[in-house]
Amino acid sequence: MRLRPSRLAALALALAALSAGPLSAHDYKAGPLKIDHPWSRATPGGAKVAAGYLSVTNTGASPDRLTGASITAAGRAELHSMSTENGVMKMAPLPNGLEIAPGATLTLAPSGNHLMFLDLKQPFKKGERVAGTLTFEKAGTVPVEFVVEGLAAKGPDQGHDHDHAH
Amino acid sequence: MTMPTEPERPRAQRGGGLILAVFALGLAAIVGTTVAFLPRGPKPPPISVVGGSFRLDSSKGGVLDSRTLLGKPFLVFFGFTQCPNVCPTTLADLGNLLDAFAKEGGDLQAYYVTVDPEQDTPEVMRDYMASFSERITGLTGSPEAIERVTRAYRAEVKRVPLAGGGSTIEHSLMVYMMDRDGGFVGPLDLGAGHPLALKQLHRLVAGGRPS
Repeated sequence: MRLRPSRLAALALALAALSAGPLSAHDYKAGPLKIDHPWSRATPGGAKVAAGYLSVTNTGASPDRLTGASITAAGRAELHSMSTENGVMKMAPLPNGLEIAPGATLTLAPSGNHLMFLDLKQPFKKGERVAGTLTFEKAGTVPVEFVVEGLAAKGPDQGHDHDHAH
Repeated sequence: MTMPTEPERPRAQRGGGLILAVFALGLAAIVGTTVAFLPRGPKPPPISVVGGSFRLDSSKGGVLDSRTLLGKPFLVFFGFTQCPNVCPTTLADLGNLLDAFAKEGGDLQAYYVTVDPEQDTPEVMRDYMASFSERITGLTGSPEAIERVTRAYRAEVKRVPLAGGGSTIEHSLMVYMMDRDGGFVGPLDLGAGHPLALKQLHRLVAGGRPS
């Protein structure tokens, strides 16, 4: 891959936001919210978009709401719903965010609601961690890292942490 | 001269006629059933209206004419390179499936047709497809050529705006299984797991059509 020096500098800056940590399951606490294993997938060549997934459990007594996200390696992040209707993929923004009722777990996953990262500054590579934030109505903005899984991953930790029965 | 009257047949002979008639009926039933289940020669060409010929730019260079695909079954599906969620998963998953199929002695090629021809130039498609199995070829072309293909395959394509500006494209997710005559056989079910999908591919290559 050949890069112009100006691009190389930008890439170096952007790469500084990444760290190649171990691929273990990771979680975060934000007040009564437990954020479990934010993850993304390696991006194919030239892709300027990626998706982010995670789950959030509300251990508190009052509801909270995931309203947004940001990621250092992307221009912006949006919260989207995804559904399949008659074999057609349908996507829609979720401008009001997603509620997490007391005791409930909100899951963002490849087959449904997810974060969409747009205007990626560099490709996501398997094994990297990408720094970002999640914003909640009550719990505020929480810094997190998204672990980058392989291109074919359908869930977190594929082939890493779990004991798969082969 | 008097007309000869029907001679009275003896009782025993009339009884024999009845037995013969029953026997003939039974024979007819057996022959009829046998004929109905006889193989009827080669299968007729597909009546399916899904699919059609195309000439598109290949991610592997040059132009791909769908007529060169005839004689072998193939797979077709639609997507675009700036698709965040489903397309890369399908591409990676299908690539793994086709590689596994090759290990079982199968040989199938898949063709990924972009629904975003303005953005997905042959160069963009080449870089993008390099991330996936060589058994999947990316195809792009003029907006008119792409529209013809999506219409022929009855694929749904709809551009939808994003909250923060820009847009994305909603599209059919189906992986079309096409037979050696370019006729639509049915959708490949990737969701049910690779063992079942491999069975579908083996059946496709063997020339079987679902009844």
